[in-house]
Parts: sequence; C-alpha cells; structure tokens
Amino acid sequence: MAEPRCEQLDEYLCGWLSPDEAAEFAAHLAGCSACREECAVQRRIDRLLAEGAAGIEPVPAALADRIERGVRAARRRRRVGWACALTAAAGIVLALGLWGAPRSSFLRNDARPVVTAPVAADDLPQQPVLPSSAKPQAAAIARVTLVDSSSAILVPVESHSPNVTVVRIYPTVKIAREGAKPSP
Amino acid sequence: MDEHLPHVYRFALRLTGCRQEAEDLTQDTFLRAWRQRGRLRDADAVRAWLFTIAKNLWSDRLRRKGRRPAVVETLQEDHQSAAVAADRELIVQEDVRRVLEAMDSLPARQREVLHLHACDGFSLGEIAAILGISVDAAKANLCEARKRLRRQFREIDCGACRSEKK
Repeated sequence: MAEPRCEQLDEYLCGWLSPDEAAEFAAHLAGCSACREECAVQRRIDRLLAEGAAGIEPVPAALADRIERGVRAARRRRRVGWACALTAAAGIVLALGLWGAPRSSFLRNDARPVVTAPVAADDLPQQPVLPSSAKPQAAAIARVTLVDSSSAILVPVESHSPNVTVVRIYPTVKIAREGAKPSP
Repeated sequence: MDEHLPHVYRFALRLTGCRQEAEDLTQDTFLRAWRQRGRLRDADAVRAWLFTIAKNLWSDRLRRKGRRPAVVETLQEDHQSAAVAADRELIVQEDVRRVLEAMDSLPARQREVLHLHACDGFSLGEIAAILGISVDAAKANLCEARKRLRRQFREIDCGACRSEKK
C-alpha cells in the first residue's frame, strides 16, 4: 500500500468513486498484490459483519415483551392524562361561564338593549282585571329594558353527559309603558 | 417493531458494550419512538429514525453520567452460546467473534459509523444524519475504521495461524 492510489481502496469498495476513477483503480488493482489482499480481507470482514452479527448477537427473548408492556403502560398513562385534562377543561369552561355570563358586556348597565313591543293588558300594572274568558289584548306599547345583570336567573338544565353542565340564563327585565294602545 | 428490534438492539450493544444497558436503551428507544411517532415524516426511514433516537438517548445518558464512551467489553456469553454449532459453522462464528471484537475495540465514533455501514447498510448521508455529524466526517471515520479493522483482523488471523501451527 505504498502508492497514493492504494489510499482509494475503501472508496473503491464502497462505490464512492466516479466511473472513471473506479476504472483507474481497477487497473491499479490488477497490478498491486497488496491492494488485492486488502480487498479480499475487507470483503471477508464485510461479509462476516453483515451476515454474522445477527446470528451471534440474538435479541433477548424477553425484550420484545418488555417493550410491549412499556408501550401499553405509556398508552394507559396517556389516556388517563387526557381524561384528566378534558375534565379540568370542562370545569374551567363551566366556572368561567357561571362567573362571566351574567357580567358579560351585553348585560352591562351602560349597554342595556331596549326593545319596544305591544304588551298584553295583563302585563301592565294598574289596569282593570279582565274577565277570565276574555282574550288578552294589546293594551299599550311598552319599553323593555334589561336590568342589572347580577340579578339574572340561572336555571340548570339536565344534560346527557356527566362532564357537561348546561345552564339557561334568564335576564330580568323591566317593563315600562311607552305609547298608547295600538288600534285594533 | 419485530422487524427493527434486532437492528436497534445490536446498535445499542455497539453503543453501550453491555447487554443490560443495551436492553434498557432499546426499550427506551421504542418508548420514545412511540411517544414521538407523530414526528416521523418518512415511513421508509423508520430504522434510521430509531437509530437516531437510540444515539441521542445514549448521548444524553453519557452526558448525565459524565462518562466517556468506553471500549466495548467482549460479549462472551453470546459468543459461547454459538459454540455448539457444527465445525464449519463454528469457524464462521469464530471469525464473526473476532471481527466483532476488533470492531468493539475501535474508538466510539469509528465503531458507530462502521456498525451502521457494515451491519445495517446505511449510506454516508444516513449515517451522518443519525450521528449528527457531517458526511465528510462520516466518510473519514468509516475509512479509518475499515483500515484499522483490516489491520487488526490480519493480526488476529496471523496469531491464530501461529497458534494452530504450534
């Protein structure tokens, strides 16, 4: 292995040389007994490593089971973790809903929506009581204003999921007479 | 898993030089792979991905222990278990044992590169990616490892010939 060309032995055997370089090395190989011997040793080593290692270093029989058990345990832990996270998230959403809903901006005093609508006589104070057989009739135009949001009524509603709680929010309203009785 | 387990285990053996540690490392490799399975982009590159995980896990352990990669101990039990085979098989097994011993005596980086190339057939680019080194470094280490291995193997061979002649 005296020539610089001999240094290319591994590149030649590994197929890293260009076609021209490989041809040149092959020509060199024909006249270099040292390189031929090295090639033979290396090919033997490669064969032994590729084919032999698997037989001489078997995988311990219990290792596959051990890994399977580990993965199963990790899967279980992950499921429990997700369940805890979902429960916690549902709790947070519920808590925020209960705390925030009555205080949300649409119910704030400075942004109370005002609706006008005809109302029945029964709804107006200081009106004569109509006979029970009479149909309620619109008696006046009333203005309906949402009052203080803290006095909203929360009514829990039954849901099908144990993790979800549904609450209906009934804002309280104040009714005031605004106009005359609409013409029939 | 069955397809890749022997390869990962043998690579772990090369890294750790100890059967017990190789088993632990193999198990941890597959567990991490399962947890991070969403990160695998190329399904054809599973083995290289597993080897990368094994290598990273082993590097982390060495860092935590403040330990340099040791010269791998010879795995006598495995070798002895193979000694019940027929004569010809025995000779082959003995040759394999010699080559593995020679490989295990190489410096860690050369040992890793040589194992990935010779035992698992990875390309230089794949080896570089697995070990986190440049392709040039992988190539230089591989050439040096092969040269050293040839030298050691010839010496072992000559020693064996001399002892047989006596």
